[in-house]
Amino acid sequence: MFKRLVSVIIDFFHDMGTVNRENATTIIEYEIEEMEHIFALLLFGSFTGMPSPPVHITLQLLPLMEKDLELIFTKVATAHDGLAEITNILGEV
Amino acid sequence: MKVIFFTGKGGVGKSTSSALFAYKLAKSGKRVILNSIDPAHNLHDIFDCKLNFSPKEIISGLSVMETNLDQWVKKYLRDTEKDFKEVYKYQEAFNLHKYFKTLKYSPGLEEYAVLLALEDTIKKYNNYDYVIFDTPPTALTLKFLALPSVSLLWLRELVKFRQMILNKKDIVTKIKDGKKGTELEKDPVLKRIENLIVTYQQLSDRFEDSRNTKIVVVMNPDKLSLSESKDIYTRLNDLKMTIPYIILNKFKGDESICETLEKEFKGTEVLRFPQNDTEIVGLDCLDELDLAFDLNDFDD
Repeated sequence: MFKRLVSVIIDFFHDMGTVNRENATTIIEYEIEEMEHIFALLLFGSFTGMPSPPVHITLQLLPLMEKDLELIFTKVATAHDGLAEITNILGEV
Repeated sequence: MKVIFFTGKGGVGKSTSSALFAYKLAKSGKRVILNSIDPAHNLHDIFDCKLNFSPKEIISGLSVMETNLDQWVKKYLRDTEKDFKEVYKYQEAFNLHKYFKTLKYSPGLEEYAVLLALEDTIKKYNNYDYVIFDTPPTALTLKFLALPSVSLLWLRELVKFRQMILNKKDIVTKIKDGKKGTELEKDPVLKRIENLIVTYQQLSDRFEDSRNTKIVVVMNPDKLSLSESKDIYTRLNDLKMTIPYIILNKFKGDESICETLEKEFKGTEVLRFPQNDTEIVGLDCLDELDLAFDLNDFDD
C-alpha cells in the first residue's frame, strides 16, 4: 500500500514535470514553426511574388524541403486567423 | 594556372582577340586551352575548322573548344529531376514529373549553365598554363561573374537563419528529453547550404584573385563601345574584380581616345589593335598579326 502511494506520488511529480516542460516549450515551438515558415518563404518567395534567391539555389534545396513546403501550404489555410492561433498558444501556457 | 576572360560589347572582336592571344601564348611555349562560352560561337570560323565541347589541338600547346550551353542546362536539369523523383516519387502516379520539363524555362538558368561550364573547364584543365574564355556579350557575362557573390549573399543569410531554427530545436529537445539535440549536426538542408557556400566561395575567390584571373575588356573606338566598357568596369569593380587590360580593337590612330581610356580606367593598360581590312580566318592570318604586347606580362 505504502509502495503504491510512493509510486503514485512519483508519477504525479514526473507528470507535473513533463507538463511544465511542455508548457515551457510551447511558445518556442510555435516560434520555430513560424521561423521555418519564414525560411521556406524566403527560399520559395517566387511562388508568392517575393524576391527570391537565384533559381539554382532554390532548385538545389527544394528536394530536401518537402516538409517545409507542406508547412507553407498549411499556413495558407491558417494565415487568415493568426489572432486565434496566438490566443490558442497563450491559452495553453 | 591563369584564367583570362575576354569580355566586351557584342561584335567588338572578343573572339578574334582571344584567339590571337591564345595562339601567340601557345607559340611562345605555353600550354593554352581556349574555350568559347558564347552561345553564338565564332572560334570555328577563326580557326577554320570544326569545333565542339571537347578540346581540339590546333597547334602544339593550343587546344580550342566551344561549349554547348544547352547541354549544360540539360545536364543540370537531369540531375535536379533525378533528385526530385527520389523525393516526390508519389507524383509519378499522376504523371506530374513531366511538368518538371518546364524548369528549363526558369529565369537565371542560362548564366548558371555558363558558371557550371566554366567551373568544369577550370577543374578539368588545371594542368594547362592558361585557360582563356571567349565570353558572351556583356549582359550575360556580368550576370555569371556576379553569380557566385550574389549566391553567397543569399546562402550566408540562409545559413544563419537555418542555424537559429536548429539551435532553438535543440533547446526544445534538451528541455523536453533532457539530452543534447542533434538537429544542428544532422540537418540535410544546412549541410547542403554549407556545401554550396564552399563551392561558391572557391569560385568567388578565383574571380577576385587578380594575380591568377585576368579580365580583358575588348572595345572599339566608338562612343557606344566606350560607354558599355565603362559600365563593365564599374560593375566588375563592385564585384572586387580588376581589369588589367583593355584592347582597343580597330584602332585608327586617334590617340585622344587612349588618353580618355587611361583617365577613365585607372590602373588599366590600353593595348592598341590596329584596324585590319582583311578577314581573320585561319592560322596564317593569326601568324601575320602582331600582338604588340609582351606576353610575359600576363605572368605577373
